[in-house]
Amino acid sequence: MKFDTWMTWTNLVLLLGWAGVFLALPRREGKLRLLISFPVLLGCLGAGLTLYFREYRFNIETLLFLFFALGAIVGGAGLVLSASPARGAMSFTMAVISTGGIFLLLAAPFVMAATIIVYAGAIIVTFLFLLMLARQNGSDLSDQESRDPLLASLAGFLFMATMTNILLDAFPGSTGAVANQLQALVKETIEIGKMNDLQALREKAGAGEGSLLSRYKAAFGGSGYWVERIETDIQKSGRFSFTQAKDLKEVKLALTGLEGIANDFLYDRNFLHPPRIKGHALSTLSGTDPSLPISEIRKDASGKPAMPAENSAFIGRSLFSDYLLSVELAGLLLLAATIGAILIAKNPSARANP
Amino acid sequence: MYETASTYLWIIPTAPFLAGLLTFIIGPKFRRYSYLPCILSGILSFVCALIVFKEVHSATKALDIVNPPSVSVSYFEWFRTGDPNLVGDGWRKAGGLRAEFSLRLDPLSASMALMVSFLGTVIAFFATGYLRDHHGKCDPGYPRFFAEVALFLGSMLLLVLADNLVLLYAGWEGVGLCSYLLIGFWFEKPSAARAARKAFLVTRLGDVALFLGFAVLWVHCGCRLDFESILNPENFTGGLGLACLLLFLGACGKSAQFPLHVWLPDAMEGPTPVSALIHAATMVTAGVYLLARFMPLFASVADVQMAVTGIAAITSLMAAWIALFQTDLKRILAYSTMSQLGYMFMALGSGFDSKSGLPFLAFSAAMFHLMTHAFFKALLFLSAGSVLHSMHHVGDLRRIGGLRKVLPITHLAFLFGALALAGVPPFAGFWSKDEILSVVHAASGQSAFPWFYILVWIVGIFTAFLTALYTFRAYFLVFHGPLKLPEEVHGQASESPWTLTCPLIILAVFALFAGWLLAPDSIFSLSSFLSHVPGLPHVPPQGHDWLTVGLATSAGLGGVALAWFKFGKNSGVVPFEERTGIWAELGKNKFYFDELFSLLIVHPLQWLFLLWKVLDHYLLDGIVDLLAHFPRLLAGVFKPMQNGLVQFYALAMLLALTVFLLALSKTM
Amino acid sequence: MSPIDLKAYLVLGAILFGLGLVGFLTRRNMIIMFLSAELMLQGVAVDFLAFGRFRGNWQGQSFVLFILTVAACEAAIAMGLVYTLYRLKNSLDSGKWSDLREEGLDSPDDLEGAWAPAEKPDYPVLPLAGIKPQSGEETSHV
Repeated sequence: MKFDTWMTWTNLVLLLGWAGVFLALPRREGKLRLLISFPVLLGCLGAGLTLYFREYRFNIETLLFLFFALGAIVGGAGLVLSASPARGAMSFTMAVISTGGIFLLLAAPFVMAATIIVYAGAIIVTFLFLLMLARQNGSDLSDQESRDPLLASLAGFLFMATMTNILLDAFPGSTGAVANQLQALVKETIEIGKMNDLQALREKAGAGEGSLLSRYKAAFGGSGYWVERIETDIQKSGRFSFTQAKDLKEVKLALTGLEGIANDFLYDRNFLHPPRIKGHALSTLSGTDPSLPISEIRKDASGKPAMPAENSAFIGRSLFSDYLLSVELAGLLLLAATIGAILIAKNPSARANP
Repeated sequence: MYETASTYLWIIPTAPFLAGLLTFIIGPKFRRYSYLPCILSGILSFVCALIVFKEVHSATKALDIVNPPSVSVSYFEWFRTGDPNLVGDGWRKAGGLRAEFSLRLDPLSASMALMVSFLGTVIAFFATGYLRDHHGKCDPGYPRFFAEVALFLGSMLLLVLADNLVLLYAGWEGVGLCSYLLIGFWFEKPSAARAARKAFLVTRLGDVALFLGFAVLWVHCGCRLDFESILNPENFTGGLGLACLLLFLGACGKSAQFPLHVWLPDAMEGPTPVSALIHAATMVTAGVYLLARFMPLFASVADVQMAVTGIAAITSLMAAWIALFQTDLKRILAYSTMSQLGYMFMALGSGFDSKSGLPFLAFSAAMFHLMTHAFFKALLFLSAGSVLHSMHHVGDLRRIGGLRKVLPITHLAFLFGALALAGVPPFAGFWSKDEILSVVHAASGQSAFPWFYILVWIVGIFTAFLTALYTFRAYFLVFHGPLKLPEEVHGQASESPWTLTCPLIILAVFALFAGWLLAPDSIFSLSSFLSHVPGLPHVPPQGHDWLTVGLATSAGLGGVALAWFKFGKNSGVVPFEERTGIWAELGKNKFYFDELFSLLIVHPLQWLFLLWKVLDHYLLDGIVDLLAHFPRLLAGVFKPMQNGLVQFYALAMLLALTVFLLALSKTM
Repeated sequence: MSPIDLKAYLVLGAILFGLGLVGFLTRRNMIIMFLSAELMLQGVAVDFLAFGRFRGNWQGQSFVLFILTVAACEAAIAMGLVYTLYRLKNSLDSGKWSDLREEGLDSPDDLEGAWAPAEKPDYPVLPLAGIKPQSGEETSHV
């Protein structure tokens, strides 16, 4: 994994986030610490916003995403950071509702409705009820004192940073654009590979700025896993060297290697037709055939695959065909959980002191 | 003929075996009637044995080529290793081992099966009464006893009917196990438990030798195990002498021959029916049966045969001498059994020239004595059992006496048995003992070492004298003289119930007539019946060796007469057990064999084990403890991590997950 | 500069997941811990939906619906458990429950003794309807 400036900035944002969360985690004393944490958290948010706007074009979709994402993150932070459980629960409600907005953006209105009903409607209400029941006698010290704030928050943010970095490493720039560039490059490589003159071939594919190699690297975003692979497989190993190659065969081998790396990426991102899996488990009711290349899927105006507006109808068709057994099992699980909850909550003191 | 026979043959060993298992399972539920499976299966076995015997008998009369009087009936293949298509050397190199569940049917096995099932049933019937006290209350181990007796009968019948070495060995070990269990039947008694252990361990020594002997036979006989191949000396590439010596060692263990005889006297700790069945009539004769069965092999190794005869002579003389000084009724009978087994081996060892008729004469004489001895020794033991039952298990000759009037039936039965044992004509022992001594006498004429067999012959005649002496010493001390009752019976001794006396009467009839009926020149001649056992050249019955008959009979009568003068007339001589002098001391202390064994074997082993104990306790345990200490130290480091907090565990999981993710992203 | 893509949603999912994780690790209140776990589930749901959206199929949405079902079951059981545990120790602190720790270790509860639950306030008990309450002197709390 190689860090470019963008990733460095992302990690800085995460570092700020960690600092803010660490400072703001509830503790019994330290009003100053709490005061310092506000600007840190705000700075983190600002840096994140800057990064976001540098990456994405400003339109209504990015704005809505930003709005809901901010709501979800702030709500989640409120749940983690607020010393009062009731306030935390309300923050969680906000996070859930914001996530619902994200779900809407992802063309999943049914899931959004279900989430809001189940979480914000049922779970939050029962737990608030439970909180009120348990908190008849005032605030609890255990709410004001976090456990292991330094180690736990560090571990949590380390994990978050690991995931984010891997994601950014795996998605260099805008995936669709990279794929387009790569597909063009592969086409060109094949053309070059058809030439039979060693000298001309070297000139076309040779080293230096504008050479085939550096164009590949640029297409991959100049750094990251794929660029590393080109460097180790093509450049550093003498076998695939363009410049030191003695005869035509070796250069052609190197070209095939480059093409292979590009195809790996495209397979990985589903832009190429992967080997078809025989007897695929799911029918087309659950969406297009997964072995279909993404370039052949019908797109909507935003460039994403087109999803029909009749969301519930299509989910129903998927659930009651491909996932029928799972749906029945989920029903069984609900029944078991109902019985279990009743049994557990029944007269606990009698069971504790028989 | 053999359709009928093979239909019934398998029932003979299987029925008692299944009955034993059944009794083990349901016996404790029906305590009072738990003898039923054992006795019924014994009767079933006996009837089947009778049918089979009749078939064999008619076949010997018909002398039909199609139906030879000796055949192996194979039921199923028991196990096989190696490629069955390989033969000879290839088969052996492939570790070839094939055993079928096949039973042998010939005059020898048929007569043994008949004898064993008959005696087993009769003695089990005796035991139904013996194991109840005077109020009819059963012994606590009543069902266990009959289960074990039935298992014993099954194993013994398997032993005599087996047609290959593996099956024979299975039966051999089965009877050993049952013997152990039944000697230790009253295992609460420490002496009984110790005796059972001793019997098991000593016979085990013999069993190891037997197994090695079988292995030698297997290796040198082209890896075959069936008797058809084994019993032909021409099939052997060598190793016959070694194999025979090992087989004889095995037989020594089982049949209590010097020097492995030490277990038999102690085995009398078991209930008396057990002593009668296992340690007099059947199991201890398994060694004799083994040597008789392998007579074709033994006949070709004259050196081993001399060893057999020598050991047998030593055993019979020594045991008879020891019996003279014993004061326990059952112990006297035990030494007498040893002595008589010595007679049988003496006969078997005389058959050394495989070309002549000597092996067959030796074989038939030994089997003849085996049969008659089984009947009269069982009779003697059962009579002794009846005495013990009446005397509340007091068998000390010094504490009982003059029981003639109190136990009339038992008295007569014991007298018949004693006369048979002493070799008084026309009782059973007279006929068979004379046969044996005649064979030994005949052997001296053909051997390369005539003086050796002459010596054995003299020992045999002297032993006959001693036998009569000790038998009638016991008889006169128990049944004659003034009435002496031990205090346990409170002066209320009476004759045993009918369940005990019935078998006595049956066996007494046999003790009277068996020898006369089975003698070589009678119509039920055992030797002409056994002559159809293949592998031994048959000779017609010889004329009587009048010298031997005269000497042996007069020795026996002399012994009886001496006993009458010494003990019957109550002449007030010093009792044998109180005499001093080197020979009397030797006799009283059983020639110090127990002490010798304990000095030579037990004590060195104990020292060795002490050494091992020290090594084990300090060295090995120390190392193990040290090793066990390291994990504890290590655990001291990690123990605080198990603090029971869910969140701490989650944190550890998360850190591990992060490490895995980072490693994965590096190699992506 | 590009239109919004899969990466943005995945990063959002990661952030929600990480925040939930921090909450689960640091907070002592069992209810807040439970809600933090739910926040982690929300992050996963965002990821699933985004994958489904950008591949143009319904598998992501179906999966999220199952997650929702399981979360509902979990909530029911968790509520029963939390209430039971509260009844037993009169506290929602998860640190009070460490009975499965290694033998011989002290209780890891660092708040032990720092705080004792207050006595239950003496709430007035309602008498049976229609019966005059048995009270001594008339007192005013106003």
